[in-house]
Amino acid sequence: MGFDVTAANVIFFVAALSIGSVALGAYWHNAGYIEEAQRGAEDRAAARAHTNMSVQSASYNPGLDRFRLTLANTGSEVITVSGLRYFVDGVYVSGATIERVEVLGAGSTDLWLPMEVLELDLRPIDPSPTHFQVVAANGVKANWRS
Amino acid sequence: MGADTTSTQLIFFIAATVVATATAGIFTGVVTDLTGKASIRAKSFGDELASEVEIINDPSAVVTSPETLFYVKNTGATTLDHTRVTVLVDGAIVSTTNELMDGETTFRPGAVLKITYAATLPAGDHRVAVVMDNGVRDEMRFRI
Repeated sequence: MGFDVTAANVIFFVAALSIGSVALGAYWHNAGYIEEAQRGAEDRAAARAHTNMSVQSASYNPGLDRFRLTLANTGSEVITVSGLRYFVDGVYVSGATIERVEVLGAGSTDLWLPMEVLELDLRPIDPSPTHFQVVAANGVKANWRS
Repeated sequence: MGADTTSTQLIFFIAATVVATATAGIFTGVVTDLTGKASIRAKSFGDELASEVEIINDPSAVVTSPETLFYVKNTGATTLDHTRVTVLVDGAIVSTTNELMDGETTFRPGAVLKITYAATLPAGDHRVAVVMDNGVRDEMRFRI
């Protein structure tokens, strides 16, 4: 075997090493990225499955033009109060209309723990609402109809 | 070994080296190109997995007059492009105007997007689908 064959072999060997390292590096990088995204999606799905809320009572006070709701965290997931979104008669409610949101007996907190009750005052709301919906940060909903 | 034999071996050596280098270069180029494309595809797939949207309207009280309003919440882990949203009402693509709620400037995770469809839907069963730029979608059926 002459030098020509040996030289060709060396070149192929170096190329194979280079190709292998590039391909393997890209594979691990891509697999890691997808795995992380998949884990995130599974975590979100699990959190949604464990999130549950129910509207315990809803009352409208025409004198104050105030709609008071009490909601219970009936799931096993902690819900962020600032992440809640509300719909009254199908209309998205935000800003000044949300007069008060309070987790009863918990003081000033943004965390609504399982089994705790949240009280919500909305005003001005006119006329008396017939539909209400609360949406948690992860998209889980609870509805009330008069 | 004469000069002619040495010259022949030198020519073979150079030829083999050139051919081997060219072949290795082509293989390296092809594999680099493929891994680059695979990385782009993997990133796109990963972004799709990390993205989620949810139509959060109250399906029993969708506002349909004077215009129909839909609200979409970003429930995923990535910021989405709220200017490139495709909305289908009852299977047909419709023209809408989109506006971020609560003073948001980007459609980041947790943000709500208001989609206004300048039409009044007739009474009956309806279906709305929202498709984001990266293919992530959500669908809601409702009754008026």
